[in-house]
Amino acid sequence: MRLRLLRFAFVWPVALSAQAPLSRGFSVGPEVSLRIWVPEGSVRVEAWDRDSVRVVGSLGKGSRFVGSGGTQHASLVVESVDSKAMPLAHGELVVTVPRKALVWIKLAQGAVVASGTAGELKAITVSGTVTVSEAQGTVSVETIDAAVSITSVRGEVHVRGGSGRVQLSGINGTATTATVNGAVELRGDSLGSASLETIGGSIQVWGALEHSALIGLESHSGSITLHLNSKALPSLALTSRGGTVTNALGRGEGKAGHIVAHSFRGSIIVLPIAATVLR
Amino acid sequence: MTCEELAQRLEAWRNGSLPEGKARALEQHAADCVSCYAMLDQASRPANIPSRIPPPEGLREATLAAVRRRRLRSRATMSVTLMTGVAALVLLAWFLRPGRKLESDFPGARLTLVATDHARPSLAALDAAESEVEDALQTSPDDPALSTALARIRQARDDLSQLIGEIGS
Repeated sequence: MRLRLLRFAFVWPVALSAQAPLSRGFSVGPEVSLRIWVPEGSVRVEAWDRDSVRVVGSLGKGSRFVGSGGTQHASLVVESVDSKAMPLAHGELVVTVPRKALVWIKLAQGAVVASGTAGELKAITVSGTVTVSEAQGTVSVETIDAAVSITSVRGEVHVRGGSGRVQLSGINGTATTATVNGAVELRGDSLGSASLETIGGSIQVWGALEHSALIGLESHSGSITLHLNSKALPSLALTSRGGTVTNALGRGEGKAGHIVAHSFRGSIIVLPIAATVLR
Repeated sequence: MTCEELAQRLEAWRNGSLPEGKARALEQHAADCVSCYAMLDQASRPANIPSRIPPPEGLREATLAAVRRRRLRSRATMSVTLMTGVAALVLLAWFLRPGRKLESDFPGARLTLVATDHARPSLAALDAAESEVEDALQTSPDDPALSTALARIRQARDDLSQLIGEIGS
């Protein structure tokens, strides 16, 4: 497909028909700040080593795509043609961005998928799913109750959620996660420092820590379960005000990192990890 | 008292020099005598008062100007009231129009509603957790861990509210 490169300090044409196809392209700077706002549908972000943005996909009936901005800042918006229309504007977009772009995505309902980015990625959603993989830099997700899955990220990961499950694996860097009712899972064979908090959700950690890593776990009523390698056991400080603490592996030593877990009334369990779990 | 005596004492009665007893007798007679009553009535009116007193200079213009201003204010008030009433009727008709759904027609407000609806279970969970920690604090008010837990729960609620606002903005 031939990519049309446009400098787009203007508003693009409107697509009105049902499931109208969309294909746009424009040149930008390598670290462009890009805002993507789709009320409902899906946004897939891919990265490439070009100084341009490509947008393909389709628009729902009564929805239009509006692109604006310049080479340093740009916004891609799907909106209703009639602002008083009852259904949310719908779009299914695949956006290919420069690898080091700063990408900000807002999607009320639907799926966000991002991979390969090396700049900063931030997603804000209400419900649906957020999936990030093979990324570098900073990844931030804020959601009311979407399920979040973040895999193979080198850098910082921040997730703030409500009742959706948060799954983190292969994080080579630091991770902070806070949920209300959503379960939190952290996996890795060389886990860095992390802070995982939840009110009513459960917390599960699988794997081994870097020797200097410190993982803090906090829950109100949710259980905390640690699946750890008994031969590389981190030092463990486990307390639960109203729940039980069951540790099958001992206190561990500081040579394999530190885990501090506390719960208001949730149980805390330490189990030996199965050798195949992380593969 | 006779009619002649009344006529003789009328001037003294009018200027107030007639003794109290004679004045009462004079009035008593006038009450029973039509002609003497007419004389007494005539004598009791103030002398030399013109039938029409001219108004002070400028009073007429000032009064008319005040009336005109009052009419203008009245018209303006009526116009505003009328316009407000019409606007209220139009809004009411719009809100009650057939087929209108209860959700707001504005995208931002709709998104806020969607976000709030999805956040309801989380907000309820936060409320319950907050109550639990507050109860625990009543029995252990000096426990710093409880204060920290309470602050964390409240922070989580603030964060959620902020996120709802951000979704709708």
